[in-house]
Amino acid sequence: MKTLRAAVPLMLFWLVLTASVRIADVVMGAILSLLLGWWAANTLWRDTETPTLSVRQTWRFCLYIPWLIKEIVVAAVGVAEKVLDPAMPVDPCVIVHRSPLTRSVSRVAFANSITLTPGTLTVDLEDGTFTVHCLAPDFAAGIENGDMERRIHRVFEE
Amino acid sequence: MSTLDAILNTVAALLCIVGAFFFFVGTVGVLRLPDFYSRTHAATKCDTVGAGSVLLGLALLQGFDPATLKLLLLAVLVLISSPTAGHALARAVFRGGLEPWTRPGHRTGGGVS
Amino acid sequence: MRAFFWGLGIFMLANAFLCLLRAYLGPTVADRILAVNIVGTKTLVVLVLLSYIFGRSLYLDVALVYGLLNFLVTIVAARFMETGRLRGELT
Repeated sequence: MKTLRAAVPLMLFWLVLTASVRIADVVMGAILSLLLGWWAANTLWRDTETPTLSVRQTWRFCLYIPWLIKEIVVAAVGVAEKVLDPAMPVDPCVIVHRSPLTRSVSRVAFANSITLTPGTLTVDLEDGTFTVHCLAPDFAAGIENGDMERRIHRVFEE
Repeated sequence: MSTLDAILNTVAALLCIVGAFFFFVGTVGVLRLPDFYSRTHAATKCDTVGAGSVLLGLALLQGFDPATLKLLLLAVLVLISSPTAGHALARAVFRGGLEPWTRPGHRTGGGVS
Repeated sequence: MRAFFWGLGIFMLANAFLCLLRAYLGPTVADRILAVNIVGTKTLVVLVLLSYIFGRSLYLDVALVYGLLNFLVTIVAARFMETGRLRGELT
């Protein structure tokens, strides 16, 4: 089962790379991805369980992406303003944020989202405690108000 | 048909210019900001947006083609890998004990716990 | 359109060289690794631009592998900085 779950994305990746549907290519890809998937399942992820997403969660994740991209663009503009300003009004600070998220998938998603949004960078992550470096104190408000956290919660933990 | 092409070309060129602008901001940020953590901010965010924007522009230009899929795959790769790499580096440095730079005189926000 | 992309590529390379300046100056090792990572991302974009200019999708595969290796190098370097070794459990 694990082998298959690793092999299917590998096969898709192979199809994108070769961009051909000739029998020989597809058979070669299938053999290679099964071998690699078997190796990954038995060597890399032997003791770890792979995260599972239900269909609904996957759908919600797809809805979450556009929102995240919008946030990222806003973030980049914010950072650009600060950097290009001759006076460079940065005032870095470190905040510690405790999060109720329990699954590791959602924690990873939250940490990555923090890093990608306005002037905030996840520095350390341990058991739901996020250490976040902020470029300016007003950026910290975006995390403390918990909007993103609620969205992540809705995507992965409902 | 040609007007559609013209619009497509213009949009793609605009996306590329926006991407170049963000790359430039990233470079300036990396050179100007005072410490490692702030430089990581500039590096991860601006490079992600810059690369994503340029790749999207080129994907628009390519039209429907296997190459477009590869371009989108590259965009997703940058989108996932850039913040992860930044976070890994920042964590290594943080656990190594590098204190973040703060504006001299006043310390805002909570300290390191 | 081609001239535009040549210009864009050259601009990107100029940016990459400026980032190398940070790799040269960088007070800490992490600064240097970060700078190399950024140069890698810029190189990836330049490779994609070249693939469009020359009309050969082979460069896209090169760019893909370059991006993956770039990510891997940064992660491995960060891990080595954190633990001082490459094998065995993290923490």
